[in-house]
Amino acid sequence: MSTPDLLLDPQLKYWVLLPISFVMVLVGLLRSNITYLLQPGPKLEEYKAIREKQFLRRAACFRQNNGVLTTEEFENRRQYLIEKLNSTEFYAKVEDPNAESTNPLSDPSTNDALMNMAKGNMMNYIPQTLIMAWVNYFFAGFVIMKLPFPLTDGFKQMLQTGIETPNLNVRYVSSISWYFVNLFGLRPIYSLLMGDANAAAELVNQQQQQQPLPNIGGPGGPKASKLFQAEAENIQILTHKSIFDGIVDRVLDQHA
Amino acid sequence: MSDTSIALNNFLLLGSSGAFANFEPEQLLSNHDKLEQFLLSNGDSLSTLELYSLYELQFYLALLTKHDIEAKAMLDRLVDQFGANAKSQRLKLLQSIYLEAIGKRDEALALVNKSPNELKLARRLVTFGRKADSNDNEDYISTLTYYLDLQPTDLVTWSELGHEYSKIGHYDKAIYCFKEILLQDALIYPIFYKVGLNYYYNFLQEEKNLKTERKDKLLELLNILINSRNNYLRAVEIFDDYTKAWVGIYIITQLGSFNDKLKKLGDGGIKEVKEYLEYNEKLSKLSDKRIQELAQPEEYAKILNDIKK
Repeated sequence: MSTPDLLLDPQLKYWVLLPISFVMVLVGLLRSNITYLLQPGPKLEEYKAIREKQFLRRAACFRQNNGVLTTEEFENRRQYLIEKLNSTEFYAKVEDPNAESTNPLSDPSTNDALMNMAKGNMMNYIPQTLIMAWVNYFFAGFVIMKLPFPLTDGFKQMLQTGIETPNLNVRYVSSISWYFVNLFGLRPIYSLLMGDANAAAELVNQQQQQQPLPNIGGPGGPKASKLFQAEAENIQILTHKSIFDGIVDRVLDQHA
Repeated sequence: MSDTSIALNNFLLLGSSGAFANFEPEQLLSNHDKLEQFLLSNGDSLSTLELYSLYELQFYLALLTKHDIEAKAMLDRLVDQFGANAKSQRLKLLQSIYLEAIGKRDEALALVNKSPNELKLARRLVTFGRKADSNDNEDYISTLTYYLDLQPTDLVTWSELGHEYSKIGHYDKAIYCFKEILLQDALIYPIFYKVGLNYYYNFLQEEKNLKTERKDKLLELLNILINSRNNYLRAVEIFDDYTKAWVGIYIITQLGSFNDKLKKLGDGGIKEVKEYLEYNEKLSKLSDKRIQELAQPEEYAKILNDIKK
């Protein structure tokens, strides 16, 4: 049985369809600007933490590239590094071994990260909830447009959310579905308006998915003392092979 | 790639690598003029990031070529874009460089001397310890070592410290510094050359102080020389067309009086010395051949002349 065509009021276009799109674009732009303003500037890492990392890196480099040293230099450096790695001289902060491990949620250094995450999420779902509530309140159950091309029944759920008409042709789109189509399909518009494809992509990504949890330090990160000790042990068992062994023959062969 | 994008990439690379710091004056001037033209004709089509990176490069080039006013204009553009009171270390760095260049040293110093966490500025601060008189660099060296204690993987500073030690004749310490660079990147052949050179200087220094011709002393010297030779050889092993290192090898093989002393030792039956002298002959021929291949004829003649002197 074929359903007769619905007659849609052309005014729907001007008073429902376009306003929904228009409001969504504007709110999206506003949100991106507010998020930008709320973003904290990059924080400087404390110099001691950097020193600790760099010293560890220096030790790791020694482990990898010690072939450039002569045997004597190798031994000197090895002794120096083992001594320093076993002392607390390069630790960013010396921890009390008797102190109990702290709760990561009460640690002030992780509060910042949590706060930023919360801010980001709020900026994400508050505007979306508001717009959706607005659409649902004013335009609940509206059929606002008819697509100019035929579609299979599989699209019914996507295009006719919010109206209970099992036999209605799939080509008719409900207001709340139009909202979802906009939510996922506005990227090109944003990139056009913002003049920057990357920023737009970021904006759309933010809308569509939860950001992954940032690594908030705390119990996951290994302790400096452990890393230092491991590196010291690695260096302890290192065998040295100099690149200068037999280098004359190698060069002479190269030109033979 | 079009010509414009090639030129753009070249300039961006120049800016990010900082290679212009080692340029000759003519090179600096020509790059400065080219970049000026490039900015005039292509400035509108660049992205913000590219444009301001080029402004930064042009700032340096303008300062180095004594275009103070232009440098100031570039700096103002950067400040206008990124804010005068911004926390940006990069911007503060440029401002302090400009202030120092126009003679306001104290203001420049005040600008970078604020927070111990601003490590990029800390490195800049270290350079204020440098004095025009190159023989009096003790303070500078101690600031450099202090800085390296905080930033043990800063290769530029290790190199600077190596040069400073080399200047005052502490060749062993200079070698230590250069080796520190090689530990982090084992393929930088110019550093191998520098290590070799410092070993050679060390050898000359020791030879000058040599009073006896005792066997152990000579063997000690030989060891230094072998180290020098090996580092040169490593440099040409990595980059075969490195003329400087070939010249270094050639010079080592031509040490007349010292080699004569060694010959006596070798005749005395010391295997190590015999081996060294055998290698010496082969390397002498090879390095001579390579220098001839690499250098222009008149350049080659000049090199030989210089060596003889």
